[in-house]
Amino acid sequence: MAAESNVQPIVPRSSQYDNLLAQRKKNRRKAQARSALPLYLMMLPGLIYIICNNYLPMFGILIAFKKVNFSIGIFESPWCGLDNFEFLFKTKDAWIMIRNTVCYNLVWILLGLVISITIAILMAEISNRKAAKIIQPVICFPSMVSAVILSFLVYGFLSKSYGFLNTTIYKDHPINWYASAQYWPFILTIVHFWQSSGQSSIIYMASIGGIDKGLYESARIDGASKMQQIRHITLPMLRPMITLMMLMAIGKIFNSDFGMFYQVPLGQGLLIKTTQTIDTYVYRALLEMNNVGMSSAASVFQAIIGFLLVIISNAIVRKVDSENALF
Amino acid sequence: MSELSLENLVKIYPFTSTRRLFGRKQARDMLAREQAMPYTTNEGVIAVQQFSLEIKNGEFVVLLGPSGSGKTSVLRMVAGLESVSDGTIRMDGKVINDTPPPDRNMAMIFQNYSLYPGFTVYDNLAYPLRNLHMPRAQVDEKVRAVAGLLEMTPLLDRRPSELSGGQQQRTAIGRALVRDPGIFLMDEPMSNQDPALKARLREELKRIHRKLGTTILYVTHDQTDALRLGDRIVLMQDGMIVQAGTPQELYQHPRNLYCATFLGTPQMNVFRGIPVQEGKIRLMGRDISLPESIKKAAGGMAAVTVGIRPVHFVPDPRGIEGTVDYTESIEAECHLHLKHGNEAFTVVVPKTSGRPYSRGETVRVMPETDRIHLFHPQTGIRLD
Repeated sequence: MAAESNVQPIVPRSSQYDNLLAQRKKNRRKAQARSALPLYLMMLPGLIYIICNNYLPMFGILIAFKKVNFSIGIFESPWCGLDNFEFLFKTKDAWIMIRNTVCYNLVWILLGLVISITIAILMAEISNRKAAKIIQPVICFPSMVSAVILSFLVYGFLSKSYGFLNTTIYKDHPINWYASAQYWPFILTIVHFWQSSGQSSIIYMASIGGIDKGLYESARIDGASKMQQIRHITLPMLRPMITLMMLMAIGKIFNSDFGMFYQVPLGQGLLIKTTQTIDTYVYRALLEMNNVGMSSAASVFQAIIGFLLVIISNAIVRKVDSENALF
Repeated sequence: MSELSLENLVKIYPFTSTRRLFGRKQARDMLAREQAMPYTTNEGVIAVQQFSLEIKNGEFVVLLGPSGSGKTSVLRMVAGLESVSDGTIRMDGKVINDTPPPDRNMAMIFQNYSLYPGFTVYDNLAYPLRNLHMPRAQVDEKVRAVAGLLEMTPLLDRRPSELSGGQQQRTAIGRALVRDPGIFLMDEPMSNQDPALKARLREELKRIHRKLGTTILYVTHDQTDALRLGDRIVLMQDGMIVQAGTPQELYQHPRNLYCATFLGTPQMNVFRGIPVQEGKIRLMGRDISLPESIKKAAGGMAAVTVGIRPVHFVPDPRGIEGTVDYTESIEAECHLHLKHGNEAFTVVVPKTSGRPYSRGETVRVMPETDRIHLFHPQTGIRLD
């Protein structure tokens, strides 16, 4: 009997003990919230900006599904289902603008990758630091030029009567550049890379700067040539950045640089065949037809396709090389 | 296996340029700092000066020194990654000052191993051979032989990111071995590892050296690496050799106070001693007998610097009195940090020797007579 009395019976936890635990948990949460308060306050301005600038305008999606009548307001306007989308894709320019947008983007993404990386590698190989410090800002300068200035620079080259090309190279057979659509894919591509490749190469330059110099020294001792060092060290080390930049570019494949496609060709209607993109079409639709619904439908289309493309390409990257996937 | 001879090597790095558009103030400040450094010329900062060393066939030589002592500059000059400002580098009697790195018949292992990230272990090992345009079958044979030697055959298809620190180091050693170089150059190859792995890697490196008998020039700031690995240690300070010799020579007969305090854990205790009569010195109020070899060394001097390693004290009821400030229990030893007036010193006693020591307790210790080192109080040069 004595032995039995020494055995401690297993009893359920008292409610008092549970209350104590709950109270402790609550106190801990309060303390955590208090310590995080400055961080939340610091986050607040950015959060307000994002909500106002990026999220609230999303309600504008409504416009894509309404037949907008400004006299009664957006919310009172009648719903029209997918009519705006149908109208967008049924126009005779739909194929041209989608083809132009996607093709320009594809070529520019791929060519841009090669050009930016090449510039970055060449810059990294400049042993004269002084020269590098001059060249870097010089190649980045064009990205600071606004579309309007850019359009006048291009006009200076391509003007039929006074343009540099027609007064020098094509003196005998002047070309009316602003009436010949077939030249513009090349003109826009050259202008785009002149303007953007310096800036986009900076990202790769920064990545190259972060590569361990020991790798190159090791390769030198192993007898690797400069080209082999680039192939076997620089490019593999740039792969995560290349993937990231590609994914970001793919997400914007249905967007285009409005300034480049509208200002540089001076909005010439004769060039629409090769310069019309979704963005310029939306602008023209607003100006000429005052069709807000269709313009909004085009934006929704760009956003949804862009989002889907990022998800799909990221899934492909994750399958091929999971380390470099975005998410 | 090869011999290496370094004769009066000098390396001067040019001063920071102040002729720049931006950051001129910073550049001027930097230049002023550089010019105020102890070793400068009109051309720049001297990183290595009058460095002469002979490395025999199959010898494992360790360049030891703190950051900025010039050890890595020496290694990089030997590898051909840095130009030589003055002096001569000979390998097997041939001057190689201007020989490009791949033609020097040397292999280098870097601090972070520098394995090619996009390659598998196999490709990393094969890479130097492919650059030599060796036939594919021969490359395969050599790579597999080295992988077998380093017990890495199952890892050949892995990429560096999938390897542990030890496996990465073995791959780096393999990449060096596969070329069958005359000399291995190693630039702090273990500094990124945790102590347990470091100990294992040291054993592995020692085993490989024993097996292949290759000449190795190893750079480290870690005295444990130097003492355990090197056949010979070259201790450096301010770009110059302070002392070169076997680990025992450096530990037991340090040439100066810098060498004495740099080697050994815990650091050697340094006291001010007053010679009282021939063969005796007064240390913290106690007259201590000096060993035969240095009895006359302190003669005629008002004071000398006395160095005694913490392991060379023994408990003695008539010894120097010290109050325990704090203790550290490390493996089988107990480190007693004692205070005697303003003097602080450390004594190492085996844990098995007796009771635990507590703060404030008084202990009496005596240095082992034949383990006392005397140094000149101004120059720090050993007296004997």
